[in-house]
Amino acid sequence: MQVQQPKYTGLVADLLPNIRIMQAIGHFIFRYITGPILIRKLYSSVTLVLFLFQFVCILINLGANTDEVSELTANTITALFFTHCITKFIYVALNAEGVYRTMGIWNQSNTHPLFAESDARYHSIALSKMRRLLFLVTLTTCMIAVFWTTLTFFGDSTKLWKDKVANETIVVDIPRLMIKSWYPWNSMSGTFYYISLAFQLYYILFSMLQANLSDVLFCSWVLFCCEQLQHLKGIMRPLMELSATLDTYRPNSAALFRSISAGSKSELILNDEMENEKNSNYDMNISAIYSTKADWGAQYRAPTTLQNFNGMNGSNPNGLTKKQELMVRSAIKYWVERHKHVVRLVSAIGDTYGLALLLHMLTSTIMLTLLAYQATKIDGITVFALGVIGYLLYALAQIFLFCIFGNRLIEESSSVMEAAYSCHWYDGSEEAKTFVQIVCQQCQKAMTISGAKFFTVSLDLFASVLGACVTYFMVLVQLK
Amino acid sequence: MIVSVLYAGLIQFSIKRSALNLMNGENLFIAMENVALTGAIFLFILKWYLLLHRSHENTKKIVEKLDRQYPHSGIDQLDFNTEIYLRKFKKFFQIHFFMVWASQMQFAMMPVFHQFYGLIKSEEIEWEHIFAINLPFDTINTWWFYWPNLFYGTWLMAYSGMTFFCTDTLYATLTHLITMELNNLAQIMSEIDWDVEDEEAEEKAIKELKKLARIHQQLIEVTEELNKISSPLLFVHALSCLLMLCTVAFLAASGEGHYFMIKYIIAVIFIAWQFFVQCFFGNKMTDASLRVAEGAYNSSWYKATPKYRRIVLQIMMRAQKAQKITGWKFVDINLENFYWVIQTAHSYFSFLKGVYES
Repeated sequence: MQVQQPKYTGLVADLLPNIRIMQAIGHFIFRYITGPILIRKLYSSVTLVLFLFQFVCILINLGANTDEVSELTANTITALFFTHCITKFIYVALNAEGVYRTMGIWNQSNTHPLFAESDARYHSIALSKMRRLLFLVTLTTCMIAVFWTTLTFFGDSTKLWKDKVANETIVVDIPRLMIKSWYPWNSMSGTFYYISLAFQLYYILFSMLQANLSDVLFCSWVLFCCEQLQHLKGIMRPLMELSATLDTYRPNSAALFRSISAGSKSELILNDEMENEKNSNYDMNISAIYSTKADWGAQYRAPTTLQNFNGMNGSNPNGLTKKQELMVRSAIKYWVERHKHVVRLVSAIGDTYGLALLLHMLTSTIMLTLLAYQATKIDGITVFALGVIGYLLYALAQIFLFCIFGNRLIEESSSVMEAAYSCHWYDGSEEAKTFVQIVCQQCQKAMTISGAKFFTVSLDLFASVLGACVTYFMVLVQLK
Repeated sequence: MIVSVLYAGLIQFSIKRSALNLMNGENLFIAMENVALTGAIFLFILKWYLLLHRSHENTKKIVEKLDRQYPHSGIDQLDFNTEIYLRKFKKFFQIHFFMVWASQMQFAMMPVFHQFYGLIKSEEIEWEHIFAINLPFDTINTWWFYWPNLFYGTWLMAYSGMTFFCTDTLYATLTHLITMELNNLAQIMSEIDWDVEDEEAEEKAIKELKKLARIHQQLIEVTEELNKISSPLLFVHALSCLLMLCTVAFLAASGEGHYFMIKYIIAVIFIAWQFFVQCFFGNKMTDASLRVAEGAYNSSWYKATPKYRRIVLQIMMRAQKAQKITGWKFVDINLENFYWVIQTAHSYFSFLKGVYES
């Protein structure tokens, strides 16, 4: 019996590859699938158990080696690194409803025939960027896993152990594995060694992918919002011109009702300044700037008694039919409703993922402090140095990923105001001018994603984290 | 009250004495404890005096103003929202009650509990003070000093706990009510809608919007009043929270024995919780004031003439300036600054630990 593939719309359809990969590596996302849920639930639970088992083994190893300071620091860093992954896994599992709700907000959006082309264009730009982001992050994570595994086979696989009896530090052999971890079996050599190796490889790859892909999901949402804001900015100028036709004479009104694409350079309100500059001295023709055709057009504001438009809408100087006037008003409604829709989506994203970002920042802060301490002990290109630098770059890259998208959202949402101001509002009607006023006022306050209200996600956050890390490192180096 | 001040003076004297031997590790410990205690006592005195005595009139004024707001409008959704708000607040009230009493009492009863612990473990444990005191004579074995001191310390903890609870709850209640009113205002505004065909509908909508703007003005006045009465207090609270957090965390980390560590860790949690309560409600109020701008934007202004749009514009212009509670203009009371206080306390704590270990 053929089960019909359900057609997904909106944000879900765009993010389907991301969701599929997340489901494949064991996240607790059980919607948007056809087929039996029970097997998937079983798979996710087994994955959770395995990951928790390995994490607990790492913690046991941490607890067993607290005497020697450098071992303690190294093990703590590893434990914190994998805390990220466990936290994200459990967070998505507990907050799956929030994820579904955020996806559901953009199930369908309003449309308008005049702006459909612009909508489609920006939508496809968003789609391609999201796919590219997903591909890059997955590729980088796999490469990191391979790099980590390769690095294990260089150098000595030993650890420092504080011998309490003799009160000195001795070097003890440990299994050549990626993560220093305790196992209930002896993994020094033989089949158990290969089992441990394979298990650790699976663990590293899958848990890093889990953490990074949920961050990619968040970044894709923010990317989508940014492209929607670009679309709104793009249709602002034609919308202004449309709105002006309602009660001010425009010579070329018919042209406005063609399907207006955002990239069209057609200036329906002619810009006489440019012609005058080309012709002669700018100073001489300043008076000409103030007599554009639109000004002349405005003087022809038709009083209803004198002008006769064949009995059609008498108060409209451009001879718009009732249908066209309705279309203009609905265009304005489209813009405002689309903007409100984007604001709703952004606040849903903040509610859903904000807490995860807060937990991420807390774990990262502690981890970066310890890494700064470890970095002061580097004395050459050794396995240790490469390991520390690798951890450092990875932690900073994770923070950078979501900070840069958060920052882009802030910038896009505040630039809508500039787009509104830069169109010819001064030639427009009172309605057009008040429209621009209200839009400018609303968009002065940028849309931000906040980590559960404790901080806002922007490049300032990244700069402060980086600055704190470097300061701490400098102080420690001085103290040595 | 006066006795508390005298007691505080006694502890100050101990600090002076400890400060003379600051570089000696043991006395650093006692000195830090005394610093923490000074902060706590100062805060307690200030709260008791400022909020309960001097601001009596102003608080009454605020409550009256809030009382006179538009009656609960008969709109079902709003009444439902009010119910939810009040229920959430009751939950907070219960949690706060528990936190205050649990931490104050465990701190005060620590010597007694320690003795029980000793009895169970059949160890001989010396009686110790609740607050470390360093006086020229042996303070522990002199029973005429030790026992009154213990009882007075317990009573002081209970009294200060009660004061903290009352003042925090008063502040939280007022802020919470203002938040609720602002949120309701935003909701009513965003529901203004009318049929374009109807001629008079727009006139009615304009009248309603003007009424709501008047209410917004009154709510802003109320926030300013609240700010006036609680601003100096919050500034001192922020500073003393910072001071106490780093010293008590230091005491927790370098104390002898697990027993003391528990005592101080619970104290740290309580100090952070107190300041968190202030920041949480202040933040909620700031968010609610910004939501009024969104509410005005969500009303159907695009259907309206410029006359209506200009009123919306004015409301948005004022509402976008967030109504903040500040600590004497030095520090805003919101969750970002709470995070800042925790971070700064953490760095001072690491520094103190470094000094102690060297």
